[in-house]
Amino acid sequence: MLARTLLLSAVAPGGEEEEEEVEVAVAIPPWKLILAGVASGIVGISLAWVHPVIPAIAAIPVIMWGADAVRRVAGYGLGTGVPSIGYMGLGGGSVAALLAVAMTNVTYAPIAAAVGTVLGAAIGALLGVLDRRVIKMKIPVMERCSTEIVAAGTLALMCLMAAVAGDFTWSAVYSRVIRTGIIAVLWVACALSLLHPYNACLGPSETQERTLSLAAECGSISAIVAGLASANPIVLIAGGIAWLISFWKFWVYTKRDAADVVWTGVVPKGE
Amino acid sequence: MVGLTEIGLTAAMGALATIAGAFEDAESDVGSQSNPNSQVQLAPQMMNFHRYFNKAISGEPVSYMMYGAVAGTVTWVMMTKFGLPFLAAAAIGVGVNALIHMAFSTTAHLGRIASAAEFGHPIYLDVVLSHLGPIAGFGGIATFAIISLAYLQWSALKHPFPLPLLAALWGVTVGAIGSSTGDVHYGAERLYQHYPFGGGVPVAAHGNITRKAETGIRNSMDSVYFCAKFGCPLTGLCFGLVVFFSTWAGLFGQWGAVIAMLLVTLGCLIVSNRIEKWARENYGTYEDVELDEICDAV
Repeated sequence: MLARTLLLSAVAPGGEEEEEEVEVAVAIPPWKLILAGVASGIVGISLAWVHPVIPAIAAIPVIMWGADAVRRVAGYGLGTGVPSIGYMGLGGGSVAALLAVAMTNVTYAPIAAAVGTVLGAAIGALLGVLDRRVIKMKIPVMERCSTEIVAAGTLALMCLMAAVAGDFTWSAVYSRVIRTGIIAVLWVACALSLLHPYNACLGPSETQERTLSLAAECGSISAIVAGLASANPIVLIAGGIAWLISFWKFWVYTKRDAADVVWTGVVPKGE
Repeated sequence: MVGLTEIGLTAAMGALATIAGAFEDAESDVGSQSNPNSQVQLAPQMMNFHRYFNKAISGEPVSYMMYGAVAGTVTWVMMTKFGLPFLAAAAIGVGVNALIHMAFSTTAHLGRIASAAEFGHPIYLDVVLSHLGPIAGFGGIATFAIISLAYLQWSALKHPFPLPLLAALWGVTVGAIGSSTGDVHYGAERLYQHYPFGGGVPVAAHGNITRKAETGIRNSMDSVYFCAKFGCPLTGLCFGLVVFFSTWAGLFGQWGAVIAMLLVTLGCLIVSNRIEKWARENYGTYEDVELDEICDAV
């Protein structure tokens, strides 16, 4: 194993070149998104027993935080790696989320959710260290963003699991989410919600407001999916309303950012 | 040895897989998803404004995992909680998934073109609206075939996995086959048709995509028209054979199956080679015309 690690670091591109910090324009600073995401996620999971609509809607700020972390790391020119980093987030996240659900057998839901998020962050940090030190990706923010992405993925997945199960306990989640196979659709909805916003807005004129409004739109689709999977009309309607609002915001930002929005036209030859 | 029922079921699954593969490729071509997407994305930077649909929803395997999983989950919910028969439940599942599919497609196209504002590329709304129908339609047929496959496996072959999980796994598989086989037929050949046979495009020419169609300005629908003749059926055939081959070991024995697969693969190679040679000799290279000759300038 050690020899393989050394070999990997030997064949990876040389580490002599300087890593450069890239300035990413932000309208909302990351710490606000982290705070909002963690708070809403843990409160949402804790109140799942009141009504499943609470964790379903609480997943939206968590997904916005995760999408913003993807945006910060993908600003280094990941390109086709943007989708991959989303899967990585949920790959590590699903392990931590399952452990958190299992922990509800011995402790309270909020503590289990918090421990799950911290564990997700630890898995993310480990992946970040491997990416930067072993594979030698020249991205200074890799460890930090990888930690945030996996933590956000864990929290978002736990929110959706709680929304479908109606409670954040092992017996409810196992019988309604894992045994029924619904965990597959929740996994992929979370993964796409994390990676799609930045992937869809990729380009030189990308702005944080537009990407985050799209993250809210994707989060609403995740809430709708949770409503469909649990056949709960209130979750479905709440998700639908959130989708309408967030899609409208995305459309407003798209019209603001685009060079022009026209009904039709013959393409000009650019200069 | 497997029984006749299993062979019949596997043949039906092979047929469904063929339909799923063919329509999956058609759907990805309408949106220039996966491989051709980076070239369509690069075009505005090279000042080649276009009317292609830029549908960047992750890679095909994961996006199809979502379509399969959403349609499979809704179908399963309709069957178990509301007692609907499979076909009615599947119709609802595919319909619901089509709406989510269209939402993702719209945001992907709008987001990518809006982010090309620095180069002055406008968003054409008629491109969005005219392409959404075929995207949802082709995607719907592919998704219906995917959940039918999963349902056959779940109900008739008694697979231990639940229906939503099987639908998600079949979605990944069809996406992977569509991405690996289908993209070959809508990559360099189609997007770089104005270079001789589109093959071996140098890096300097990346983003310099073909903008003129047989009539008018090219859009992504023209690519489906092109791919539906060979690329889409071939993708379907590939996926159908993968499903069908898996039972051949039971029919012909282990080595018999390997030899049968080799023969079929060799046959496909020879046919592909002959068709390409025939097409090149008969149709020749791309003939350039002025844009004014194919459409009126506005």
